[in-house]
Amino acid sequence: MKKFVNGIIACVMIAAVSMGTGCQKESESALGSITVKVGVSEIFEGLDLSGISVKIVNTSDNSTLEAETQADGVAVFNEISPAIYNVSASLELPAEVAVNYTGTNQAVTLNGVATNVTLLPSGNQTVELVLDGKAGGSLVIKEIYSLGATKDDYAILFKDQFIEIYNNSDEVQYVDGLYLADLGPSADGSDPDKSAPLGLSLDEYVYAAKVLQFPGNGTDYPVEPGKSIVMALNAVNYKADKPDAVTVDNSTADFDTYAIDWLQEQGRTGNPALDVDNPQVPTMKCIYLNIQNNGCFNFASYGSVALFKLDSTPTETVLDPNSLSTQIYYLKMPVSGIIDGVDNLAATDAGAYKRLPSSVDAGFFCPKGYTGDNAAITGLNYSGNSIRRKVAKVLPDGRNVLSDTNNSTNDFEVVEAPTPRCYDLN
Amino acid sequence: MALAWSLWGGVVPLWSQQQPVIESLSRQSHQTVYDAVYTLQPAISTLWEYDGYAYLKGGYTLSMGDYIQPQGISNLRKLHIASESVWQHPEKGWFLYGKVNYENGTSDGGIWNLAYELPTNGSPFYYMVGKSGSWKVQRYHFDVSVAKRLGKRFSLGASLLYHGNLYYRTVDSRNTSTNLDIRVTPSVAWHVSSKHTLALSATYERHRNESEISNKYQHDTDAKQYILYMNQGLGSWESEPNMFNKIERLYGGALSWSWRSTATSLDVIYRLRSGREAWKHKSYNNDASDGSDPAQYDLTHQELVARLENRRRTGRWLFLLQGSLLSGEGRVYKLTARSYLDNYTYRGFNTALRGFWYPKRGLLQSLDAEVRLETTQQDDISYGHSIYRADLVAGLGVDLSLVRRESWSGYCRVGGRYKSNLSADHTPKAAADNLYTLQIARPVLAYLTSDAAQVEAELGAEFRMGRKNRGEVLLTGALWKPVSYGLYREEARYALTDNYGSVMLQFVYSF
Repeated sequence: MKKFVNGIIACVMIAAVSMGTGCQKESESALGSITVKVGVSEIFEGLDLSGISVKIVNTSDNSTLEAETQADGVAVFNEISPAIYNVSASLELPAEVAVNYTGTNQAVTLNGVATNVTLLPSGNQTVELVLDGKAGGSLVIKEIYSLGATKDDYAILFKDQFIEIYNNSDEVQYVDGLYLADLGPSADGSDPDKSAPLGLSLDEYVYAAKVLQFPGNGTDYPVEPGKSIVMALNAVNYKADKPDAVTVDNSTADFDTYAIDWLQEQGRTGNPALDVDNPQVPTMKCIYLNIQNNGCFNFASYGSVALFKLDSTPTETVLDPNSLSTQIYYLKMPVSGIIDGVDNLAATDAGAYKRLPSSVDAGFFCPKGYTGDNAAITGLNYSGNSIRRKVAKVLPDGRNVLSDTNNSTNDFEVVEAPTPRCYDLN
Repeated sequence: MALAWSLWGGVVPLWSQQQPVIESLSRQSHQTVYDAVYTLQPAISTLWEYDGYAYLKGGYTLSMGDYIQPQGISNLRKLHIASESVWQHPEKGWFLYGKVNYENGTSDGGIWNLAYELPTNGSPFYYMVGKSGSWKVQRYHFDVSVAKRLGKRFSLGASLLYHGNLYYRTVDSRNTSTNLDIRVTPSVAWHVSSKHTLALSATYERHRNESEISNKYQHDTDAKQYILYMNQGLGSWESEPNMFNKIERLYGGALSWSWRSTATSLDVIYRLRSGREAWKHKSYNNDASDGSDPAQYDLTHQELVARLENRRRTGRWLFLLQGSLLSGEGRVYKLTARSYLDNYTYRGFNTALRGFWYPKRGLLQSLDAEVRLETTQQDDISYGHSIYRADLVAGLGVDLSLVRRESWSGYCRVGGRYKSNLSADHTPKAAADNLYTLQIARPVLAYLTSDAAQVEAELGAEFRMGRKNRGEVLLTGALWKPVSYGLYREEARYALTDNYGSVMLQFVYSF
């Protein structure tokens, strides 16, 4: 009997262990590699191409890898997951170096970006980036608060939106007559299955769904260095109305919008539930709104914004090639007139949905995919979060110089709550 | 067989079918055999060599503790009622089995788990959020089997299993997860001789799950713990996924050989099941899909069961060998490429040998021992992420008679197990900084690769009620405790001072 039991156990254990260890096998993998070849535009030829920081972002899981180029300007990323990547490189040239290439004694950040780089399973992909850049602008878009307020039953919705423009230079600037546009299309990359990218060239024009113009005759609305102006959808103190909501006091805004009278003049209807005029606050001039009725000048939650200086008001429109049952038209805005622009999209793999050319914004910002310090910030609709430009440095006089590398991926961050005028010099 | 039988020499085949002193223990032994052998091959139930039984029971289970798989459920509090019976008519060749069970309870936990029960078939696909929750749990189980001897040579049998689960979270994020499982097993047996029986069965199984997820709207002050994911591998996922139904269909069959003599019963059964777990769009949308399944998991499950039982003058030996090899491949459909991308492989091997000795007389009612080897290998192809683990579990238990009176009997059981992680290998490669690796894989491996000990005890009493009926009271407890840390000690969600325990009180009316 004892022999029998021992025999059974021995046989079973031998079989089990042999089968069990046979279970472990060399794992399959589809890992691949991306080789990034970094070069520079003609004007910057001769720059040292070693040690340039190259970054790749896996748009599936937002993981980021960084590497520096070798002397030949090549950086290699090995054993990476097949996915869609955004690839970028940047090189900061201090003023004393930049002057040798640009002739202007001003620091320049060179950027090169390639979005939606597809790495197939077990594939090897080569990406060529050409770094280029120009000195940062004087007026920059400092904050876009478009996601809407949270809490208090979402009663405020997005009525508390504002756009803030900051004077990043050491000279007084004027916003008189500048144009502010919410760019189309509304497709923001959040659901590629249901909405396609616009499919129009961004070389000469961008396409605006809504356009406003600052009032003034040239010198009526100065912006001092280190100061900003706030353009609110509605100049209302929403904090007073809904103290529990994460919202903002817009009653001190410099400008507001009001579209109802303008729409009615054209036989169209406005939206009094969303559009409130504060007579104490100067109102932006209504230029273009591509919603026939019940519209107002709210900005899309994940909308791209651009500031223009133009000699005349554009009038030419273009039909959205993807519009089907409802025809959607955009106002063609010349790229050459853009002072600053921020591409703001809803997904990290939404590079195909960019509304601004790379010459204006080399990358794009995705609030939902932001992987900054504060993990609690979601960048979701009605989260009360806001999109804010980072500070590059603080001058001895206390003036903040904001990051303006013409790449919003690097220049912007998500903050928990809107912070109008937070960088203003006292 | 000849070798085994020669090893078995010296047996006196005169063990009689006397009623053991503690009848509830006898019933538990018979249930063990039924679950391991006869459920796989219903037609051989006409060879059932034990008495029938029937009972109605109800009980309450309480379990809690911190030594759990981090995605798992704790603080389970549930009521259950069940009835089970085995009835046979040897002269007319009938065998009938039936069981119904209902459970209702609550539980907490489930970090990175919005499915309640994580897949047991090796599949990587399940919904998850970072927020744990409170769950309501309801389970319905119905199992019936019938077998009929047709003359000397043949038996026909069939079983039908119907199982329903309803899990729903009572706080955000909410999920009402409904499972409905059915299994149909027709079977035929050929009694080659008075001792030898060959049998064949076919099996069809369908497991369906539907989730109704109401995700909380993320607020500014919340951490990113309400983002809904569908896990697709070891680092692959889809965030904010569409809502899908899961339907798993398995087809297969079993072959068995049984050998019976007065003293000995031997069954060897091989079962093969293969099929697909398919995730289907809840509402077909032309914009979002071309009609293909968003995710698929193909699996093959092979099982080998051997039972050897020998009845002697002094008692009864029972050996159960159960081995299984489960392999699967997962893939997700990429709409942009209009093709499936193979993304995940699973291979799990599990074998257990249990031995029981039931002496006929004395204080000792039963002595049992178990040794189990479990290995799993998971690979995510996209990330080159692999996890391998091998565990050995060994246990011993003893049932002792405490009181034997005409009107009532009392007994106790004490036992223990030790789980030792033999080896583990975790190679995340491209997923090293991935959310899955940081939030799930490492804490889960910290639990799974730990060594642990379990002690269990049961106190039982049965009271004679009339000539045939009995009432039973059973109090069962078990306690798991970690003995040593495994991988990622610093990320373990438990301390060596933690434990996980459960207590169950049951009342049984046997008739």
